[in-house]
Amino acid sequence: MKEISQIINGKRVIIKKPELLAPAGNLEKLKIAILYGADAVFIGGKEFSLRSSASNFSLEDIQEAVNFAHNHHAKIHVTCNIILHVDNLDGLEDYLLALDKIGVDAIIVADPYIIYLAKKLNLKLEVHVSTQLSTLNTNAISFYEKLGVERVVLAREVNYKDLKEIRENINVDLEYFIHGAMCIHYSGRCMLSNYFSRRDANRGGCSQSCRWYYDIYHQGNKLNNEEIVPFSMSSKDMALVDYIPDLIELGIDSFKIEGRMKSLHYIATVVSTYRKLIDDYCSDPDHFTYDDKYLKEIQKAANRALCTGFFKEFPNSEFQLYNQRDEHPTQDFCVRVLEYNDETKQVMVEQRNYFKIGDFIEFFSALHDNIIVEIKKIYNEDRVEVEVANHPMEILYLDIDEKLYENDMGRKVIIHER
Amino acid sequence: MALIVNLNSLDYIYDYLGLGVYNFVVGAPVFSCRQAMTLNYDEITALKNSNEKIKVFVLVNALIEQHLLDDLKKHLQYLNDIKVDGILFQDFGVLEICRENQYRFEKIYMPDTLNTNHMTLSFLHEQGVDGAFLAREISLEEKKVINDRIKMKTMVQIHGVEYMAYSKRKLLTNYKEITGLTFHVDKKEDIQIRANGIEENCHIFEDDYGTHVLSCKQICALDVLNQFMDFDYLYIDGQYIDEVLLLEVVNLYVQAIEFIHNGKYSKESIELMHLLYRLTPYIEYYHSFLFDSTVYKIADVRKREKNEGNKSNY
Repeated sequence: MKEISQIINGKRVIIKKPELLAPAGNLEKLKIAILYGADAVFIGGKEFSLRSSASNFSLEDIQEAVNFAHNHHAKIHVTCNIILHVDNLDGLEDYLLALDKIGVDAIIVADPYIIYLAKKLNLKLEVHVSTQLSTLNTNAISFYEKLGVERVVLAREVNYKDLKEIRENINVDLEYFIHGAMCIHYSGRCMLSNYFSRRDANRGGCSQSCRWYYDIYHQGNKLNNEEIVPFSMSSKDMALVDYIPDLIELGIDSFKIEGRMKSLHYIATVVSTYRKLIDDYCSDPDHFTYDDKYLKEIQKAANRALCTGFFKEFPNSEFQLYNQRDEHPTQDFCVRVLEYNDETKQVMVEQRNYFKIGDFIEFFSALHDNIIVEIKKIYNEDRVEVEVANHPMEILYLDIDEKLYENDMGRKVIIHER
Repeated sequence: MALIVNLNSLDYIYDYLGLGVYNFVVGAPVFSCRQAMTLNYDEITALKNSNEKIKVFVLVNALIEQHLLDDLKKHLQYLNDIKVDGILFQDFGVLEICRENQYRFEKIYMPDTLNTNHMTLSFLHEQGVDGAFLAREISLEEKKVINDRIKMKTMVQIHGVEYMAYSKRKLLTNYKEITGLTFHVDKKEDIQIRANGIEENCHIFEDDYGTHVLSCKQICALDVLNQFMDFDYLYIDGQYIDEVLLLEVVNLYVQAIEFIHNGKYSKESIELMHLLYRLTPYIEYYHSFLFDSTVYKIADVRKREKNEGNKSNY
């Protein structure tokens, strides 16, 4: 097993820092993920990738992504994680060759044939086994290892105890989900969407039928009614904020955040929070004290209630959503910082959601702690004062004394939460 | 081509043999999911020994958690010792253990949802997989293409309830917890769910390995069986059907095969279907995905969405 920490100058420091792997549905999100601290970003191409609703990347986009990432010492993983049908086989070889030529660092695959093909073609890129294969044990990992894969993304169903045993017995890189939505069934093994909607879940067409409401019958008698909630198979999202130190100490190689379809605000918030948490712990693990500020920050971007998945306890009813819409409204992401003028103390921003004079905006960043300011003046692009910011993507100027940085983001603070 | 039955009772085993049906799938007390019946090692041995032509395949189709590996290794060793003819598995950990120990029984890859092209299966054949249960969610044409292009044995479902989903969670227990309802969650309780706006019920139950969802509608290929003659195993699922009726259903398929062989199938298949309907008037039959397709590309998905209501929580 790889060494995780060393004593340096009398102090233990983590020398095997995990990769923080973030999702991105487009180039803007990808760049923000990297600027906010991701070591690697996973994206989907136009072909062979799940999440058909995500705005997937063309080969030109992937080239730009790779260039940007490599310039920032980050990596790009491309999902090739559909289960291939006969009519998906054409073009696969050319696509893999193109990804390799572009300089993609890894592909994430769910179909063993793609593993075989990538290895046969002697590609430079790494091959990672997708969580779609629901890998739970060391013997399954050994099977993939013998095929030459460099990494296995474990099933979300793997708990801490099993994860520890797997880590102690396996040398191949392990990737583990730390945050995001969870399939309620084993990934890759759910056909509800196929049966109810004729939409192929294993090729990116999942209709999320598990999150629908269901009437439930016992021996023909309906059990739910106006007073008894309908049956549902909807999971709360996973957030392992509290367990990041455990995962670092286990020596897990990559911490994965789910959500290629999530917003810019979500990606910036979640990535920067985990980045800070990982860095804080690794710098001085023996004196690290957990602070709930990390979880509070994550919750600002959570659009579902959060739970800890299978990590430490078996998920009971509190880990699921029943007949309830989102109980955790996200704070409104309202501006993205384009430029700060140190002399005039004015910030140029791009409007992303409605706000007005008198609102409080919390600015967050990869570079500084959060700053909350009351908006006292708003100027439009012609430097004319306005009362409200209600035009999407409009360029505006705000008077703010605290120094801000390009790509900082602002979210409107709900007053009772301040 | 041979029929293989996910057997739900030993009581009529000699009747099956009398029909010329010798291939059976059974569950074991551990690592079996969605079996129609469970036999211990002695019972499996007795079944095998009841007739020299009998081939017994054991479901080892749970996904295997790390802490269960030692038990799994012992189980596979027992199955090898008692000389089962094959296993149906879906976790590559199972295959890896079988390869390491050079177990002789047939290893049929049955991940339910993943066997959808010939290239993958040909590659897996090189890795020691002896046969493949083709995904239900692909068309008959696709199944035929795969069958034509691979050298391993193929198994396709022709009759019975169909697999839909498998969760590690205790979804019914959790629902009971949140609602305060009291009911048993095992298979014999006949619990069903129906999605809002979808006129289609599903069976749902829990066991040691989690929660399982199966279709209530049953696939039936009795009227198109002549198109299945090139596959190696035609799978009839005995879950959620009475023991005697399963025997009767199998009998209809045996007759259908005879009619195919003597050139009378096109005429007689209609009568066979009438017999089936009379035997099982409460079961809704359909062709499932045999002559249907799924969509996944965004433009095709959008077209489908126009026909869907907003059923999601979100």
